[in-house]
Amino acid sequence: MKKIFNILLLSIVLLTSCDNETIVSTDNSATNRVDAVVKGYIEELATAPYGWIAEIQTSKGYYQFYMTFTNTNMVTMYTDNLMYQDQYFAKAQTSTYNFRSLQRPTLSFDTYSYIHILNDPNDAISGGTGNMGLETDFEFEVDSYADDVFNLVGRINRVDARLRKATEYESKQVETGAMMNVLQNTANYKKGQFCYVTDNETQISVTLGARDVEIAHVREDGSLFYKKEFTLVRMNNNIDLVNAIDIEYGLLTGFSWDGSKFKARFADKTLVVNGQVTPFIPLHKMFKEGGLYKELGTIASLFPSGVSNPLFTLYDKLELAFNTELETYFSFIKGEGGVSQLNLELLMPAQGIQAVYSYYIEYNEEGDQFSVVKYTYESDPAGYAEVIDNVMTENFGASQVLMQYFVGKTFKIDWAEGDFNGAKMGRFVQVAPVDATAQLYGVLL
Amino acid sequence: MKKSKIIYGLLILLITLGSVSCRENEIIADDIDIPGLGGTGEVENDLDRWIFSNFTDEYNIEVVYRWDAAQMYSSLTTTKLVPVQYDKVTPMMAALRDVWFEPYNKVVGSDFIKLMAPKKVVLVGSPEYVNGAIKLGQAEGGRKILLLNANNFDASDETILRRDIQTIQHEFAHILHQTILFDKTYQDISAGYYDASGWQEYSDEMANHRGFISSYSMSGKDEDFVEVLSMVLVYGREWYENVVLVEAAKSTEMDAVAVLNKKLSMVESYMLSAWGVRLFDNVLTGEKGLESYVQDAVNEVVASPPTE
Repeated sequence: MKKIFNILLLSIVLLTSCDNETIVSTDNSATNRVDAVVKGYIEELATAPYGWIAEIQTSKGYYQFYMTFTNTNMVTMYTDNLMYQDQYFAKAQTSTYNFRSLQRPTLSFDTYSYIHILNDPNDAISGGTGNMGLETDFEFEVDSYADDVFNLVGRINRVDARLRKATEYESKQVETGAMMNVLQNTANYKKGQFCYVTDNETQISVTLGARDVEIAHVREDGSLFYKKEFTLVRMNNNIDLVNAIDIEYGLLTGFSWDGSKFKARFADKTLVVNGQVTPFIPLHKMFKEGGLYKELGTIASLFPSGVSNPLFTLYDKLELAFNTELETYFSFIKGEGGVSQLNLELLMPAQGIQAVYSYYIEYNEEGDQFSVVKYTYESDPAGYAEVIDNVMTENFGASQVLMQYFVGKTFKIDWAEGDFNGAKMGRFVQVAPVDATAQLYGVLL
Repeated sequence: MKKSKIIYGLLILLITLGSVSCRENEIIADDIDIPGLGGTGEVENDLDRWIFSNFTDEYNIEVVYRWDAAQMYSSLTTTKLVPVQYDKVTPMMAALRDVWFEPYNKVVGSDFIKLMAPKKVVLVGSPEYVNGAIKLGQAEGGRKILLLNANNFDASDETILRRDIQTIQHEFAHILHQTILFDKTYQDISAGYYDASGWQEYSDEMANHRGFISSYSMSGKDEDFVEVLSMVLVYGREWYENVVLVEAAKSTEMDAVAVLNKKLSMVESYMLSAWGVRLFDNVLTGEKGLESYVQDAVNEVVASPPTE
C-alpha cells in the first residue's frame, strides 16, 4: 500500500511539473527585423521635407516622377511623360503604395498611377508594343539605401530604378511644369539643325533627344563612330548620361546648360554644342542597319508639292488604284560582304495590309549610291506584295508600277532639307539614268 | 500479490501516459506583429472602410483592389497586367452591387447572394491580352471572381456597363453550375457544334445560325450554358427575341430558333428548380422575374450612376 501511495505521489509531481507555459515571440527573428526595416523605409519616405524624385528605366529611356509619400500608404505624383503633355502637365495625382516584406523589401505602387501608364498593356496608352508596355516595372526591390538614395530593381523586368530625395528647388520647379519643360527644351535645342561639338578640328555629331543622346563622327579611316546612351534631364536643364561614354575624344558624362546653350561635359574639358543647317556627315554612313537611322519612312504629303517628280506620280497612282493612303519604309540590309539588300515595306494601314519587297542592290559606299538589280517577294509575310504588283501591272503596265520603277536605276542617298515634327529628312535621288526630278523623300527613323 | 502487480502496472502505465500527454501552453506575446496579418498591412483608408461596410460586413465578401500578383494573374502567363485605379473602385463596385446583387435580393432575398457570391472579388485595371483577344474575367470555383479591365469601367456608358455586367453574370453563373450541375442533356443539344479552339473564327451572327447565343458560347457546353443565362439577363428577353432569334431564323443548316429556345428553357428550369429563382415575369401573378429586375437596375444605373 505504501508503494502504491509513493507511486501516486510521484505521478502527481510528474504531471504538475510538465504544465509549462511558453511565451512565443518573434523578437529578433528575421521576420521581425525585416518588418522593422520596412516600417523604417515608410517613415523615411513620408518624412522627406521636399519629396522624392524617381528615375525608372524603360525600353524608351528613363522616365522621372516627383513623389510625396504619406505614412498612410498614399503617394502623390507628377510625371514627365510627354505623351500626356496636354492632360498631365504639372498635374498631381494620388494613388496608393506600400513597402512589402517579400523576398526582399519591395516598394509596390499598388493602385494605378503615372508609373502604370508606362506598364499598361494597351499599346495606345503606354506607347509600347506587343501589349507589354515599355518593358518596365511598378514594383521594386530595394537593393540598397544610403545617402538619401534608394537603389531599386524592378521585380519582373529587373529594370534599374532610383528614388532620391528631391531638393527644395526641385519641389518648387515641379509645380511649374519643369518636369516636362526641360525635356521639351532639350529635344527642341537648335531644332532642325545638325548639332555638333568640335574637338581637334573634328566635328562630332550630337543628337539630343528627350531621353537619349546619339553621338557620331567619321574617323580618319572613313569609318563611322556611333553610340547612343540614355540620359536624365535635370530640372536645372543639365543633362546627365546614365552611363558615361567614351567617344574617342574623351569620356562624355553629360551636358551643362549655361542659360543659352549646352556644353558637352568631359572629365577635362567642356565643348559648346553648336548647330548648323547643312549636314556634315554623309547620310549613307548613318542610315544603315544598326546605325543612327534605320528606315526612310514615306507618306505622300512628304513629297514637295508643285514639283514634277516621277516617283511621286507613281506613289499617287498606287494610292488611287487601291483607294487608300500608303506608308512605305525603306531599310538597308547587310549581307556577308556589306550592304546587299534594300527592303521596301509597304503598308495600307486602313486595310491592315503589309507587303514586303526585297531589292537586290549593288551598294557603292564611296559614292553614297546604290543600284537596283532586281526584286523578289521572299520576305513578304502574307503574299500581298505579289498581288499588289500584279494588280498594278495588269491595269497600268509595268512602267507605271512604283515597285518596278527602281529596277535598273542608280540612286544617291542624301539628306533632304527641312524636318518632319523635328525628325530629320532624307531622300533617294536618281543619278543613273540621270533624272534629278526623280526623288523619293522620307523621314529618317 | 498478483492483484498488487496489476495495480502497479496500471499506475506505471497511467504515469507514462500522463507524462507523454502533458503539453506546453503557448501564448503569443502581446507585442508581436505578424507580417501579412497586420504587421506590414496598409493603413485603413476611406475606400477600405467603404468596402468593409458595403461588401465585407454586408455580404462577407473581400474586395481586393491593391496589386497582389499572386491573386491577379488568372494563370501562369507572361502577359502584362496593371492594377486598378483607386478612384475607379467605388463607382464600379457600387454599380455591381446595384445590378448584380440587388436583383437577386429582390427575387430570392439577400441570403442567396450571401450564400452564393464569391468570397473574394479581385479587381485588375487592365484586360488580359491573350492571342489577340482580351480576357475580362474569370471565376475560380465558388471562391473568387477575377474582374479585369476595371480601369475602363464607366457606369454611365450603357454599352460598357452591359458588357462588364455580362462578364460578371457569366462568371457568377459558373459558380452556380459548379455548385449544382445543370441537366446533363443540355450538352446534347449542340453536340458536334462546339469548337474550343476555333470559336473566335465565328461572328455572333454565325453562332446564332448554329443555335448559339454568342460566338464564345461555342467554346464548350459550360460556356454555352452560362452565356445563355448571363446574356439574357443583361441584354434582356426583348433583345433575345428581336436580335438573336431573328438572326437564328436565317439559318439554312438547322432550326436554330428551336435550338436556342430549348437551351433557354433548360436554363430557366434550372434556375427555378436548383435555386428557386424565377428568371422571367409571371404573366399570371405579375410577379417580376430576375431578368426584369436586372433590366430595371441597368437602366437606373446608366441614368444615375451610383457614387457610393
